[in-house]
Amino acid sequence: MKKILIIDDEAEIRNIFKEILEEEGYSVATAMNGDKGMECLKQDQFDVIILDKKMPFRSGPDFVREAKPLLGNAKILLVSGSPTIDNCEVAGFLPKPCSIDLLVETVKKLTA
Amino acid sequence: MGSSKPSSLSKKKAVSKAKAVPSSSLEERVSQLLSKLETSEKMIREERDLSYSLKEALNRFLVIENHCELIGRARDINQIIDSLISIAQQVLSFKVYAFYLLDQEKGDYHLRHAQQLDSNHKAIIQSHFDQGIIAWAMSEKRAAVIPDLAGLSQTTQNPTTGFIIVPLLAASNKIGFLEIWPDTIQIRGRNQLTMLELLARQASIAIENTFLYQKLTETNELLKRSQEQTINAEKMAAVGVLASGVAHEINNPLQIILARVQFQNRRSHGPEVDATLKLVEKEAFRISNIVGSILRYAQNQNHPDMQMSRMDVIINDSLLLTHAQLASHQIQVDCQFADDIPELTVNPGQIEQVLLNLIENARHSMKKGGTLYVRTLKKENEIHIEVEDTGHGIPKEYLNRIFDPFFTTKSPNEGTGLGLFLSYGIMQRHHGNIHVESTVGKGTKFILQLPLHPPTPHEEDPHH
Repeated sequence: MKKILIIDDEAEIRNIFKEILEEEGYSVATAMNGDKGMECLKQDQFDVIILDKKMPFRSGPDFVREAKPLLGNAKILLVSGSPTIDNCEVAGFLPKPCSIDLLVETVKKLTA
Repeated sequence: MGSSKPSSLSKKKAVSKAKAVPSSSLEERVSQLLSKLETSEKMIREERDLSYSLKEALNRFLVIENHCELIGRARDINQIIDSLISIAQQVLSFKVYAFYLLDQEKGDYHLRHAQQLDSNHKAIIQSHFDQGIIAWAMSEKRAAVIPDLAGLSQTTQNPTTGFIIVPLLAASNKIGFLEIWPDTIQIRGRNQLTMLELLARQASIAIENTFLYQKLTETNELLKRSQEQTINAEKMAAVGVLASGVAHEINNPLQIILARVQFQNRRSHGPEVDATLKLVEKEAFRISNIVGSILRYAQNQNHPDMQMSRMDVIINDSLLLTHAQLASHQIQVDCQFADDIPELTVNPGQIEQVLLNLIENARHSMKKGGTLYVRTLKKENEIHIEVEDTGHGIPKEYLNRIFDPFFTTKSPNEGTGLGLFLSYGIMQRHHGNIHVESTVGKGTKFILQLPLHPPTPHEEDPHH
């Protein structure tokens, strides 16, 4: 079973993305910020990390830079309202808001 | 008379002495005294005349001074020339004259003012140009009498035996010259010419001042414009930051609504609920589109960069942002986009700003509803974007003023009069243009022209 980690400061976004992806057959973990995300990475390996770009304290791109040694084979899927990725290495980008079909399709591509 | 008393006294003395002196020497003495008397009377008469002429000169001086002041105070070239002519006519009797002004940029003379000048006069002046007489008079820097040796003037209505050319110079700057046909050429020494030179000098300084004043006004206007542009750019950047913040904040709840609704739509909840959920989904997408255009607008305000852009995307964004206002005024939108429009290197935010402006103006002109046509067309080397309304139109007398800053027919809380002025500036910066065609009662069409091949990017100032 492919493993997904969702890092977003909005609880409702974590919840709905988790429900959608679980229905698609993924194992989903969530974290409310970069620090919690790091903890998850220390305990487990993930296939895709769905990462919010704009978060308090530590932005998505900052997280990518700091978490690099822990990432392993995890691919980053950045989610943001503005269509810029601020020079960070990501495997995919999702505009916010996005349709759930686009979310599922993108995650499927990254885990294929 | 004061002088007659002493002379009658000396006469008495002479008579009393006559008893002792021989009569011949007495007569001699009388005649001497009479001649002295005559001399003093003549001197007195002369002094009186001198006093009169001094008084007259003083009066004339005062009149001239008054005119000089008038000349100096005038801010308008025509006024200066009028004053100069009327005072010159007091110095010298003439009716026909021609006043030529030097075009400081092109370096040639233009007839600015004339009286009773017929084609023959003009031919004479032309001959003075051709023979270098004008150039000579200008370099001599003093009034010159040119005798009419060839009798050229005899063919004119006002024949004369000579002409007077008065150069107008401020310091060493050539301003122009005055050519006069005196009624009679009786020049009494250089006095009259000196007087004309003096007046011409005053007029020259005054004319030069009007030029400087004009330049100052123009510079001032330019400064004001660039200040307005800076203020507006800063204002728009601030709006951009605010809009971007708001858009980001809306995106999170919008994502939750959209995802939740779509998630529920995966299964059926009965026809009524399903239809409602579909509607919520559709409207959530609409909000998403609006937020997207606000965000793009904000980003374009903050990053005023030129980039390859699709005109239809920019137009649709502008229409999306104004959709609600247009709909509430019963205004239909009719878009006709040509298929062969390539992407253009533009600042999308600025082009959007121009379109928003034109759409807002169109809306304002169609208070009772109407149709807004937006078209894209490909011309030879240009792309045209037309924004046409079926509103009240713009009166002819306003058409050449609508791009001026602060020109508006709207009330103060409706418009600043800067919209079209800024739009014009934006189109200029894109090496394009903005045109207007309007018929009162029928409507107005604005045409934005953008070049297909603008100058290379390094020639552009990215900040404007």
